[in-house]
Amino acid sequence: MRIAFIGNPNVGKSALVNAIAGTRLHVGNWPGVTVEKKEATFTFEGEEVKLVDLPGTYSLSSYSIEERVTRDYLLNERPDVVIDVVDATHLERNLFLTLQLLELGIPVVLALNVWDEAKERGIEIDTEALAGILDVAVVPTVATSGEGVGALLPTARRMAAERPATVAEYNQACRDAAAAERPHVAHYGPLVDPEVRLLGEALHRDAAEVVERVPCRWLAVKLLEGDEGTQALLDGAATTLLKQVGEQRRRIEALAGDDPATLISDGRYGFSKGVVAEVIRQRPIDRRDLTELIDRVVLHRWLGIPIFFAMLWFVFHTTFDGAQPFVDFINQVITGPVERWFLVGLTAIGAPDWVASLVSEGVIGGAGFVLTFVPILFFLYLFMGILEGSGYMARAAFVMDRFFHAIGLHGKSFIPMILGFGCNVPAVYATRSLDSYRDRVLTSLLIPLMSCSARLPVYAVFVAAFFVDQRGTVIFSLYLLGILLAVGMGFIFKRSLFRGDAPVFVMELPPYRFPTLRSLMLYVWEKLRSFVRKAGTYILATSVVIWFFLNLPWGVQNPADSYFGKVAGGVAPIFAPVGFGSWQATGALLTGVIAKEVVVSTMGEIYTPEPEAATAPPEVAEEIAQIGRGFVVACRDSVVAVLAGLHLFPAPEQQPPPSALAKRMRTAFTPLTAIAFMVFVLTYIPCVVTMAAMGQELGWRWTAFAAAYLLTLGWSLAFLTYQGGRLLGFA
Amino acid sequence: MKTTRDIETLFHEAEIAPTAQRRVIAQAIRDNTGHPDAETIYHLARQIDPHLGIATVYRTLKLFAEKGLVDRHDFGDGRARYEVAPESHHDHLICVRCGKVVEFARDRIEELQLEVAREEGFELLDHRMELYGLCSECRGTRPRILTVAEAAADGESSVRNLAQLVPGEAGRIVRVGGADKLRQRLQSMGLVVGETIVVERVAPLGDPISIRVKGTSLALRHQEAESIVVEVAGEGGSGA
Repeated sequence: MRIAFIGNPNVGKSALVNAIAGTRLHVGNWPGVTVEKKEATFTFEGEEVKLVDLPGTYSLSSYSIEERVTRDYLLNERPDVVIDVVDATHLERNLFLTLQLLELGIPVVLALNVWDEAKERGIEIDTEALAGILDVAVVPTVATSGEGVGALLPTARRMAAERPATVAEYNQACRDAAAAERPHVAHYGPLVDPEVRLLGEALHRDAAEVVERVPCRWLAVKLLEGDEGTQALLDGAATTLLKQVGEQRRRIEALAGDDPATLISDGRYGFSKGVVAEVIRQRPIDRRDLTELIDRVVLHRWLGIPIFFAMLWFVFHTTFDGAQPFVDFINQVITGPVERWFLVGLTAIGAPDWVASLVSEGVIGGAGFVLTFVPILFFLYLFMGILEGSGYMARAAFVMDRFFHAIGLHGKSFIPMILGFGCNVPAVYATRSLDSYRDRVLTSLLIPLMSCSARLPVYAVFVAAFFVDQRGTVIFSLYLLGILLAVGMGFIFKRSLFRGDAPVFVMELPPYRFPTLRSLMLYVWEKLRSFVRKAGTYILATSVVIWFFLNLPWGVQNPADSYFGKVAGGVAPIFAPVGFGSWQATGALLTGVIAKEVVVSTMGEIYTPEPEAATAPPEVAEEIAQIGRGFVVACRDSVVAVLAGLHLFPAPEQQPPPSALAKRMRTAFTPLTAIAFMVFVLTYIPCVVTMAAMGQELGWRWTAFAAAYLLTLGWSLAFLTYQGGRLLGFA
Repeated sequence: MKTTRDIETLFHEAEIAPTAQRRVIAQAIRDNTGHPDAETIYHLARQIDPHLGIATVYRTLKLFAEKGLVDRHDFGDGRARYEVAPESHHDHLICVRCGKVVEFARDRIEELQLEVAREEGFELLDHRMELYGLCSECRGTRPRILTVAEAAADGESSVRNLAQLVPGEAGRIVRVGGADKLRQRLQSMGLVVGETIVVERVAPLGDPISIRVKGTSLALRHQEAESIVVEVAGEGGSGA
């Protein structure tokens, strides 16, 4: 039995799906687009159930990706039954989607969610009457407490068994009874209904194959609405039929003075109103108590923005400072005991040295690197989950929208952008909270210009070597440059790549709700698992590839002689016009692709090679105890950091560069080339992890575009800086 | 208003052989006083005889019209509409919104027409008189649609666009405009004609506004709010 969950945004659909499928949910993307697809396969009373959670949507038209994904799934996959989650306190508006669903002729189970709240508000819904009028099954549910959830699957199964509606059967039913006699089908008035019938006949005549797959009445209504995505369904018969559709639409418009889509919407709402009047015994009192009170403060004219920034600061600070002790802990464990154990194990089975090196540097290094992101993402997702689940995210967008509208973005883009200052990776993942793909792409393209904390060590090294006195000014200027570039690029992209595609900003401000711990944890778990599996794979692979480049040909001693050095040397001339055409500088930038802070360690290795100090390995038992203690310390430090810390950006003093390096740097760079280099580091290609995140979120084409545009931008800016500086007489 | 003559008499007068199918179709036209079109006749007739095809209906209607059993009207909505040929002459009032047809006869109009023809030296063979407008029901359901400019020029008018409302003001939606995509989105979120909306608040930076409609709060920008025309309820400001 294939079940699809559908519903408006903010009706508690995810919570309901979680309650039924829980950890069996598998999160992926719908093919071709980056709309999240959640599905689960399990056995229910001896029958295999395939459950799909469709994106939250208000309508089944084809204007947004979410709508298209939902519609395509229902048309192409045709599930056996659909569970339509509606908000019992907003039945009238929710039925708008339900009525469109009914036109598809798929058996529907109506989950009347937030049933408890409805009762509290004195809304009494006659579920039997509702089921009768709409020809659906009705199950009252409370997703947060689990009430009624158990009845969903059995009811769905009963519906699927009782109403075996294939498209052909449904079409026949429509033809047999004049639409007027089918109470559960909405009417669109004396102007539209005859046209629907007329078009229906034409569809049966001229597009018989299409009508075998797509319910005729639904198709006719959508065509009369002027829905472009639906026109594509007509295949070969399109030309003649579309001509007829055009004539019919003009006819309706001429007579009604309104476009057909409006009449049809009116018809649906009229019908919903009628249904609601019929089944709701006591008119709901329109009161919002708590939500209204909170909004009065949170959206206040003067307090709104300070509260937003306070909230943002808290998220930023807790995410990065709270995660840092765990990041350090993971680093220590991986590069310490774990790596040693592997090496001991490999030596014991007699593996050659190069295998040991590959495992320790390539594999463990790469895997450890992936894991260090887990604590950061854990905190990030926890907060994103709370912000979204509680309803505050929509308020944040409301407060900040004006700011971002100018550069073609949505108010919700603010949070990812700010997170970008900490780390671009969680920032890219945070774009998930944006509603449209276009906004996600545009925001993600700009995020790399937010100078992440990994770039700071690079600036620190150069500043220590060249600009000790103007340290603060130089670093602040770089951050500012990034922000200005983001605004500028946003402006350009809005007017070039995304022209005429401005998203419609109409957003629901849902009532505040407490997110349940269970759904929060599931949310965090899903995201982390997907990060480790998807992004982790790419990062690990890159790490291994780079290891090979650094260590081939076999037995290479000097990095300059490795393939890596050769590649760096080959690429170096490109950087001559911008002031740093040496293979060392280029090599450092190349490794910076893995992570920006690696630029510093590579420069350390290349400019001042020093032997590693060997220490006697402690006992294994002792090490395990240390790991345990380390975790406890990390937990304590995290709490302390969250409670005490107040600095948004870690101070540059935290990474005192080795003075030997500073000295060597002064011979390799001039102040001017140092600035050009820093500008380049600020803008050039995002690190591998960010690219993996972008690939996962936007697809590889946009990722490649981001890399290309950022490289070009970085190079051009460095060029301008260097050549401009030279013209002005700086060395 | 219509004289319901015997079906048999009708066929007899028009000299048409009364087959079963023709009888069904004639009855469908006679029993519907609303000047039905071919599709409506087809559906009505199928309620009596489910095996009737639409082609038969078209063929029969053509025959009926030729033989004068029915009158064929074109009221400008692109479809032919039929009525059983009346014994006495009458004129039509046609509602352009719902398509309703009202028959009427006024001797003074008929006399006036003859007078005009006489003065112009015309020999009158036939005539049809069709008055187009909104029927009493359609006039009642929708207020006259004003553009924002008209409303502003009107001065005292209470019709404004949503962006012009201040927090606390309420209004009834008169029209939802804008591009297809925007309109569709607004409608799917409950912003439809006739619905009452209250402006809740304006964002701190002045742009998006939040409104309340169908028991939900929605945020939208001025740009989008401008495409929604509302009729402000009562004196402004007291709507909340």
